[in-house]
Amino acid sequence: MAQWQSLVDQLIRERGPQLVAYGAMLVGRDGDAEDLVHDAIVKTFSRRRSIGTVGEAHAYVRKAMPSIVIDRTRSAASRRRALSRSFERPDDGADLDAGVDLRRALRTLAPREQVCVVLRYFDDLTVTQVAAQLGLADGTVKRYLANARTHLAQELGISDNWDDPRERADVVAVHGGKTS
Amino acid sequence: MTQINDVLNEGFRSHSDALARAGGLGDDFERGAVKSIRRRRNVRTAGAGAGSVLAIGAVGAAVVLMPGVRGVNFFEPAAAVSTWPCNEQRFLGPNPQALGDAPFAFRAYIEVADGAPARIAIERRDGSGGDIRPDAEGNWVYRYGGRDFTLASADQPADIWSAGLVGDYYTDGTGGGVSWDGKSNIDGTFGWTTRVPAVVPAGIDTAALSRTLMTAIGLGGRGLQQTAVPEGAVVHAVIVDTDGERTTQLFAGDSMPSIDGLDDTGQAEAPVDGLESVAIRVTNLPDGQTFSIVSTYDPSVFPVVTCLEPAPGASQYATPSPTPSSWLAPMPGASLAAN
Repeated sequence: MAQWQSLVDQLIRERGPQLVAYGAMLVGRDGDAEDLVHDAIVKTFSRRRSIGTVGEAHAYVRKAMPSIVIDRTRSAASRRRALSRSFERPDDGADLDAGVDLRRALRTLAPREQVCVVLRYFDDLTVTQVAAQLGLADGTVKRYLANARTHLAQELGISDNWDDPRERADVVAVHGGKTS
Repeated sequence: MTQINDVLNEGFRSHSDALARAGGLGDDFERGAVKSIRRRRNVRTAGAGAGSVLAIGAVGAAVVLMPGVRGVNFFEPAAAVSTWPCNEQRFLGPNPQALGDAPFAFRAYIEVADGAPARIAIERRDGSGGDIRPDAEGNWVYRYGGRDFTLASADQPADIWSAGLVGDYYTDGTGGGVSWDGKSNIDGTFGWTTRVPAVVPAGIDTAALSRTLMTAIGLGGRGLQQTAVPEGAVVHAVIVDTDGERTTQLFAGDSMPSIDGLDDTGQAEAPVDGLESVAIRVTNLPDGQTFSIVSTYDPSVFPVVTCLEPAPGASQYATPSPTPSSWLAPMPGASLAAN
């Protein structure tokens, strides 16, 4: 078995649930999240690059996922591929109950807003980092976050004061093995 | 009051734990991912094995029959093929004998250059085809069967076009495809012959079932549609090889199981030993009937591409035009009307 193949095997076995749960926050449904994880793994490992550990693989795959979602909003062909695959699996009834209220609430956002919320408030990226990762302007990201804030506060019954003082400027680890 | 960070972290944790308890991602998921990665890696380094027979690079080609190979002539008529200029690239459409009743519209090969589509060649079911032009806004739209198919648009970011694409499109507007190296032909459906019985029980949608069958042997198939069979009917995928019969029940949305040795396009990555047929079988029909659409596999049938004659002149395919969907290089004998 090729080295990349054993790493894919290990990644899926050890980190699959975490990747799907992360993907579900980005796209809303378990089935769509599995497709997203599939695409991100394929994108990551199709390039002949040096990935030594499952932690590195996890970081690469996770970093690829938001960009794939954004690409789908831009690309009719990409949307068609995702749609085509969605026909090839069972209906959405398989979504697990755990955390489903959150995913339903996130799903009411526009796709770009959804991705920005996850990167900003789950991954703790700064607005500038979110903008850089997604290829958007800072102002656009701020606008998405403002819209999402109003909407989600109502949906989830939480504070709409999200401009917390924890705006961080950490360097985001891309290669580290600590991403969980 | 609760903050969004807390909600996201708690939601992620509980969902992730629940997914782990449910068994995580299964073997099928891993198999599918590995298969896709292998194909992409192969495509990026295409030119080995059977691919070298089919790769036509910058020269045009035509399909001829191999002596002794059963009569499968994919591009008829031969007279038309012989006039195709050799310096025009010629792409393979799917093998129509593999499609059954699937409502196939066309295959699109998208070549890229400098991070943007540079050429889109269309192959229709009957073997006719040609290039389309982008419109004035840079959108590549092909009109077929009264429907506009947007194959590439100007507002797509360059990183989407780091590689070409080949996709099969169906008359309902959906499609599917894989990345493409810009050279190799996609020959996955070759070797397959699909037979749809003449007598079809009430409530069976042979077009929908044929399209589900294509998820095993071609590009862009579609999962089983609930409405393709009468209520109460049971659907199985049946794969037969020299070891016997492997049966998998299909439910709504399911695609066909993967076949060892075939990649995402149905193309053999290596000689597939002993594979005989793939079928979609419907049982539990009224009066105890059974209905099957069967694709038989013959690995000795494959397209052979040859350069018939050199021809002068450069392709002008990338010239922007205010006229969308106009043919620039129609196949000789092909109708210019897009159905």
